[in-house]
Amino acid sequence: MIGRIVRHELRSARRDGRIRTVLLLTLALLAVAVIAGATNVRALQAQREEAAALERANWLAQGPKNPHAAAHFGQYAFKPISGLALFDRGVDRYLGSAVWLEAHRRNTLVHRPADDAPAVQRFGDLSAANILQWIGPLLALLLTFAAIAGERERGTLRLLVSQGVRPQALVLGKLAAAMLVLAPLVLAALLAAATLAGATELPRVGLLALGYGLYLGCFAALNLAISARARSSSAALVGSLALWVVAVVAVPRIAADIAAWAHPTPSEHDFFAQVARDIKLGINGHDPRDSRTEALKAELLARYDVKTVEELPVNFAGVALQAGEEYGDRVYDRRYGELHAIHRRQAEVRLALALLSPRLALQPLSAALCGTDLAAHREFAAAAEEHRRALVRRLNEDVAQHPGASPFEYLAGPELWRELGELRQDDADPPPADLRGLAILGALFLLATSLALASARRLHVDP
Amino acid sequence: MLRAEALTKRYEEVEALTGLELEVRPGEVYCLLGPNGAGKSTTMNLFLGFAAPTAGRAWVCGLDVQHHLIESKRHLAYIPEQVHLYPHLSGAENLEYFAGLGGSAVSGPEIAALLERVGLPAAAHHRRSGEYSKGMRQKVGLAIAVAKRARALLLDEPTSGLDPRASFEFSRLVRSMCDEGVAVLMATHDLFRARDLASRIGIMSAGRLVWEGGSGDLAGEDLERVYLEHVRRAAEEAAA
Repeated sequence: MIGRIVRHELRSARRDGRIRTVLLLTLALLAVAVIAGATNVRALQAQREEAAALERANWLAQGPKNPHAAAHFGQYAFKPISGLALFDRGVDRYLGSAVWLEAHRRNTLVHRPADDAPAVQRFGDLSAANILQWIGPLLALLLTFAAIAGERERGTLRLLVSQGVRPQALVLGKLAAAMLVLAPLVLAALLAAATLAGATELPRVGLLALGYGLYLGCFAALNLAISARARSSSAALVGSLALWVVAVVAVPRIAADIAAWAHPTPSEHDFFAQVARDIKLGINGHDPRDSRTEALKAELLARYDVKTVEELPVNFAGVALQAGEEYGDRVYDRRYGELHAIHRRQAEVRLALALLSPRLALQPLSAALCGTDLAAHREFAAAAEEHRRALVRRLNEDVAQHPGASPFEYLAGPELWRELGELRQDDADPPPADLRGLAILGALFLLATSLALASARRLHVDP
Repeated sequence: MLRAEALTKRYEEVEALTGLELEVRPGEVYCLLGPNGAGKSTTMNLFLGFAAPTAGRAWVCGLDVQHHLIESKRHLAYIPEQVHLYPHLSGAENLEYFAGLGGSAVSGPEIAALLERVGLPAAAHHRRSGEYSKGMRQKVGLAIAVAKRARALLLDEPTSGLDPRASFEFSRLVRSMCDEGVAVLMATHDLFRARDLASRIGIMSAGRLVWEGGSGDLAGEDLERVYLEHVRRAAEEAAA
């Protein structure tokens, strides 16, 4: 019986010129978004390659200098761009694309594409993900708001129910049909994106399809629940539009504010001021830098059984620099750890509020599967930091291995610069995606479907 | 086949149906006559399970409707006063869909035969039903009922608004279904149609069955007189 209802609904949708037009327009919009996304990602990848090559040439051409000066000369590391970023840009536009690696300091990423965007783009990025997240629920609304209320108004509901159709079967058939109408949009956008991205990660594309399918299914089921209870299709339309405004627009915005209020993030100024204080006065506030240097000096003099630093078999400046670097690393690990914990707690709050808005579950899932979420960003930042530490350590060791009258009179050359490679992450596996959003979407879909079935159970056939 | 047992329905302060006792046997046409608000449509809704009785029971083929909402409908076909079809589908497509949902999958030749049997012109079979007249829609409704091969047929003012020829054809088809053993309960205002078609007639007024008899018990003018008398008396009682 459900199969018959599904076939009937699909035939009705096919013959409805309004539905055909809206679906075609959305498909065209998705095509534009995917092509524009692919063009943009390719341009960014080319820019990144060019900048990385230039950066490497600058590093190699820096000439003879003290290794510590080279550590301050530094180098840029460029964040790789995921192929599937053309489908969902995630947080990429807001978190920077390159990081300056230098001695003593763990910098944040710079060059955020959003900074260069025209003001009009503040209203949202035209990505396939955004289109499906914003317009997809409206399409679900178009397909389902009058599904039951319209049958009742037309008078066909009496005939349907008198034929022995279970109201629950009617709802399930209409839900399945709505999902089948919407599925080609999701699949077309994802397959086009995967093809243009050259992505070989079909499992991720499959999970994206499942996530978006459940997301749209949630709205279709909730609209059906509203339609089953509404007295008229115009009342159902108002109810479904209210649902869209709340679940797609309002709750995600409010959830971000609640998360930031519950777990405030320090300003960039306060964060780095705290880091500078920790390095200067010690993590516990009672271990100033000068004391740490004096302690290191005493420890080295004792170890080598000499009286002055000039008698040491190593360059004290190099050892002290590395020790200072390692202390700084501890400070950065601690403070960044706290900052990341705040970000995680904020994400938990948003995910908890996903019970009120499926978009809050889909957004992080989609970005994670496309490699454009905060976790991917953090993974690059961590790899860059590891690279920075290895680079500075090697440069400081080189200083330490060359004792002399003046700590910085030693000059290294191109051999050392060549030895120190650039950070390449192109072949790195994307971090494993957090799939809790998918589980929440699955639960929400089941909940919404149960609600629709419960509404159907109390179906009234007369207007 | 169809049985009402002290069937009562109250909507808040209004008693729409009071203690209805009624039985329709196989091959019988039982016509319920009565003015608007007499309780005819409420009776239909209770047999269809569209409303729950306040007291009493409605039985379809031995099944208590309230306890067998879906199963009881398998034995029932229903034609309302206005058969509403999907306007974007043709008569043939509507028939295929509704008959399929009723458990009788019908295909091309059967659909054509059914529509021909109810008198829908062949040229109209594949036209959008949105272009159909009321009579044509009623015929598709009847075809859906015939396709279902139901053992009981509920007709709620089915000939209202039909021209005499269409009404006559409709009656002929209902009679042919009766001849096949179908029990028919028909609510109508049409005294002429009732006398023409019914095996038994019941007159309802203010939610009560106030008179019941065989169609042969009364001549045409007597039926009209009895009907008007009972309706007037019930109205006076209600006013008092």
